Amino acid sequence: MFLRKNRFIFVFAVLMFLLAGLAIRIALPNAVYQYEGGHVFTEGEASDGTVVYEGIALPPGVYHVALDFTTDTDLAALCTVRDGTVIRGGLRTNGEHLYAGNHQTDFHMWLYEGTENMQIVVSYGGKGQLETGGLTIRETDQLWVSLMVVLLGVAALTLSILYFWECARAHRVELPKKQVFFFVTLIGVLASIPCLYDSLLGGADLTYHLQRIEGCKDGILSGQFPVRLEPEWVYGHGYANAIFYCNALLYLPALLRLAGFTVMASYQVYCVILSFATAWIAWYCFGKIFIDDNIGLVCSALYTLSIFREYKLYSCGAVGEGSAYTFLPLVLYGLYLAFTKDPKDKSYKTTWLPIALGYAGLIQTHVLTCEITALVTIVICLIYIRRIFVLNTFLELAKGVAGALGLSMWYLIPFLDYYITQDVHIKHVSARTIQERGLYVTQLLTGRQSESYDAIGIGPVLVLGLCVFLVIAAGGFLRGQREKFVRFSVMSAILGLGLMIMSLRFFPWDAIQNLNGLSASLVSSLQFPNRFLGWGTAFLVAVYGFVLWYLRTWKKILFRAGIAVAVAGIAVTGLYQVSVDMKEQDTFQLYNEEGMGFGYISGAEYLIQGTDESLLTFRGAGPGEGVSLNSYQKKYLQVDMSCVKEGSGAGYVDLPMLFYKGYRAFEKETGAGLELQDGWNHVVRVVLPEGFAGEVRVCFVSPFYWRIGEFVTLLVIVYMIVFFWPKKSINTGVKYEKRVQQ
Amino acid sequence: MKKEFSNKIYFGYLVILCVAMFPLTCGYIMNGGIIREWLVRLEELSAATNAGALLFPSEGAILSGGGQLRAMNSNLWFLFPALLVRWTGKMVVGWECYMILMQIGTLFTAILMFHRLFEGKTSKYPAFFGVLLYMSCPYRIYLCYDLADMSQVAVWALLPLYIWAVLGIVRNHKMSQKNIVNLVIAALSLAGIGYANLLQMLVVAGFTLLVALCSGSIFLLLPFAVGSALTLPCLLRLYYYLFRGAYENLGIPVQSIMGSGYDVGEFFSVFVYREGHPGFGLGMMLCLLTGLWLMFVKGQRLLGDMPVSSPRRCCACFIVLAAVWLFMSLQYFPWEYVQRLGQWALKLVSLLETPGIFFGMAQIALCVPGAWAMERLEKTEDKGVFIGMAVLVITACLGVCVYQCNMLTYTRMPL
Repeated sequence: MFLRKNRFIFVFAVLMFLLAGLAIRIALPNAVYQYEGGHVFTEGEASDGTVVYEGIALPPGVYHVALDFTTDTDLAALCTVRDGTVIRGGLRTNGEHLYAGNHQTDFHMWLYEGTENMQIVVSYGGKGQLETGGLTIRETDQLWVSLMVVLLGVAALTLSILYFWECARAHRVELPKKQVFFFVTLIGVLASIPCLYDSLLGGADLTYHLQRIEGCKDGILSGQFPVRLEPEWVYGHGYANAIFYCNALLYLPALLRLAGFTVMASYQVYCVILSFATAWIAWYCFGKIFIDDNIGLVCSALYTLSIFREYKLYSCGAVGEGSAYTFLPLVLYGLYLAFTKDPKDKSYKTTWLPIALGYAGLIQTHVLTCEITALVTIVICLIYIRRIFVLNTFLELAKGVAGALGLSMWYLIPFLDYYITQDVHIKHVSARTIQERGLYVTQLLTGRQSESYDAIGIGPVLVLGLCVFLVIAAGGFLRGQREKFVRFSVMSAILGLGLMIMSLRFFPWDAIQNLNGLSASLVSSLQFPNRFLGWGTAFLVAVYGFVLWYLRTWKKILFRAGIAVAVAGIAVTGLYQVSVDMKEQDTFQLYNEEGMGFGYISGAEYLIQGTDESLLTFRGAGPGEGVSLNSYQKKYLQVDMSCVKEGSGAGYVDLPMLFYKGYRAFEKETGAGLELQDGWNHVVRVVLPEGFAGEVRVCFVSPFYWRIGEFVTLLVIVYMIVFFWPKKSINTGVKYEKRVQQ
Repeated sequence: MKKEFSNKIYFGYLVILCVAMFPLTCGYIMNGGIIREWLVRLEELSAATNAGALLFPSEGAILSGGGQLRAMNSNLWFLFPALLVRWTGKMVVGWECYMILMQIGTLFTAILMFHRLFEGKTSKYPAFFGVLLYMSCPYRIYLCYDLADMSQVAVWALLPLYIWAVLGIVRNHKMSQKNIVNLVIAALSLAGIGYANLLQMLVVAGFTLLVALCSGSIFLLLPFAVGSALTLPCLLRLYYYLFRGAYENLGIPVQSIMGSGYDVGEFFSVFVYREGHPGFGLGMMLCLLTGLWLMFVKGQRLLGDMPVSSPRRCCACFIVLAAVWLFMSLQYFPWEYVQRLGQWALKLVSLLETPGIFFGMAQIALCVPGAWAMERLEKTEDKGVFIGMAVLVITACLGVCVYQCNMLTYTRMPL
């Protein structure tokens, strides 16, 4: 009885008790286990899983494994941990490859059950010399911190459910609200199905994006905020990926990594949150457009569970593009409001907000999708050209652009700075043709075909919606309908159709590419014509929404049939495709960063032009003639060294860091700056003046004007929070009842 | 009017049966799964070369068919097809007849079970949807034609009969003539399950015991005791496997089964699935979602304080059972801890082969709340919503079943 009446207090008390226990455990010192020994591998004799240490007894925890070794060959061997005594899944790690430039492994393992007989094993390829030495296993707090996060998450969920339950019991939650909550949650769950597996789909881009998450985590650990250069990427040389490819949303999985979750779990949680966000945003935007929550729900399902989005996010592993699709409905909704709403309406003054948020989201997730969005926006502006000259409309659009720029300033300033001043490889990529990667017409209707990764269509449901719309339009049934809906749906149908055509292999992409240098660069950067299907999907979902709206006003039974067709269509396309992918496509389990390696950089777009990628590996400092190093220590992107320049003339030291703008070198004692130059294979070269002797520090420092950009973004965020947080409705200000009456 | 309605329902059952028997129209035995093991058994039985191998397969047959892990399953249910093979000389006749009888038998027992479950309801819809979900269940179709585990096919035919009888016992607390029939049928069907697949009988018996203890229905202990006694030969065989070295003699591997458990995502597989892991199926998902919708959105109390034998309480009971079995089917269920209980546990869990069988049992249990949800929908929502959902569920169930069968006939070579 007590529990029934005071369930909130009970849950809260249990939570506090468990949290206190975990906090005490975290406060206790962690153990360090050290072992002496060694093993010399015979050159030329490959061995699989040679046990170098065994009988290691450890309690459950997340551990850091450091095995000393010396080798003269990169990727000479793989060091990992093995234990046949713990339950399946009780020990998780991918180990680490051994490189000539390193002398100690540096990987984590997750041990969920105590063991008495753990083994450290090395699989040696037979090339080069290899000798292993001492072993140090350090316990970390990460298991307990991650448990704390899980506990807080479960508690938040439990308390939310209890709260919702109480509200529902007291009849304080309206039926439509409950319905929306139920169905959007369902859409989110269904869209997250691939994340409910204990493995990841091996999409072509996946490891690249996982490296981005790891880079974000390492960047935070190196003291950068926001993270600009991923310090461990490219074998510890630091890669400017974050400057060109914004990682705003990846801070969440990076924080989960810092809390002790595996790479796979962090990524899966991110994808789940993304899917839920997409479902909610799509419901909100389409529901507002058609002034009907039910149509909003159907559109949200069609959009979130569309085969194209699922293909990009899961099958292809294109996390950036998959993330960007979360924001397309916001931009569409913003433009819809700007061009269809009465500019004299009081609530019209907030029309810019969805545009700003949508565009900011796109800029900070996937620049290419943002470029396509800009193109689409220009076309929409041309269609509604007369509205552009209405002052209020122009002002709202301008405010939207300003808002998006303001929110993205922290990213755009470094991006433009590097794009203008750094000669990176992406500026030289213009020869890649894309026309042959386009689709055949029939492929528009289908899901992914296993033989070709790029042959992904838009699915039959949305095309069916378009066909029904065309029948309605051709039959003259659009006359007399609400004008703003008709114009919007006609525009959506035309643009959806146009974008589908642009994804075909018959579209003259090669001819456009040959027009001039700019078009060559833009077309080449597109990579795949099917990228246009993202917006194509958004427009065709809007068309389907209009068809439903029209059927509802005409015959209710047809409206219900339209919903049934959408449900059936999702089942035989979206859900089917997920099942096929999970069955047919390769999957893998990734736990620690080191298991992925540090070298994969996709097309090497952000390397300095002329850098020989094959020569980049883990290495130490390279002193020039007459320079001797007394000490050298590198941690992330900071090098501390003591060096002496003997003899006449200046000398130099090449450091294993790519020479991007932003590095500073100075003498630690005096603070006097030292000159930096572009060194061997475009690494950082510190110039030492004649007779120099002292301690030098080289580190990456964000220029001050980048900080100004960050400050501007902060101001815009604060402004938005202060002025818009209390308002429930972003824009319309129309009460639900009033909307229903409409 | 009432008769016309009944005719529609019977026609529906006929359609369901036809769809479930779709792969039998091929006229050949499909290769794949463990069909060869079954064929070896049948061959041996029909030849009757070894009188001692009538009830159980001989060691030679077990080893040549590669069925060491299923060596405890008796041949009892294969006697009839073996006779047919002997008379006609055609293996395919034995297989076709066995499967046809099993499908008809499953339909019959499922009808019995669901009609008793929803007894007293003015509508026959819940029973119909229960039968539909049961017959078209992707896991059942997987067992019948993909894995081709003829023993488990028999289990799926007998389980509804057992539940039917147990329900009768629970509802009639007195020792009446009617209840004696129920007791006899329950005991026989439990024994039948034991002769088909002993491990599944143990699971069913264990949970029956649990239900008996929870519900306080002492009569349930009777079929449990009689059924167990009837399967004594099988139990003895199990004893020899676990404690007397027969396990080692046959070279049965000691293995961990955790790796072959389900991922949560695999529950939602539709149309296609990873090896041995079919999902709920679209029809089942639609029904369960309907139930959840009624509960959370409409605020209906699906699990109220009703008498223990009412459909509503049965529903609650089956939901709990399904939840337990679903958890046991996951790859996260710590079977290796169970195996540490001793050598016998190590072998027993190895004999389970896969936690997937618990998913199958959960599917059986979920058919009840699934059908119940449709009944509630019919009672509380307007006719249009119910008809729309009913059409969707029927289409989804039959569509997925046809797809599954069609893909098998398309990809499996004839033997």
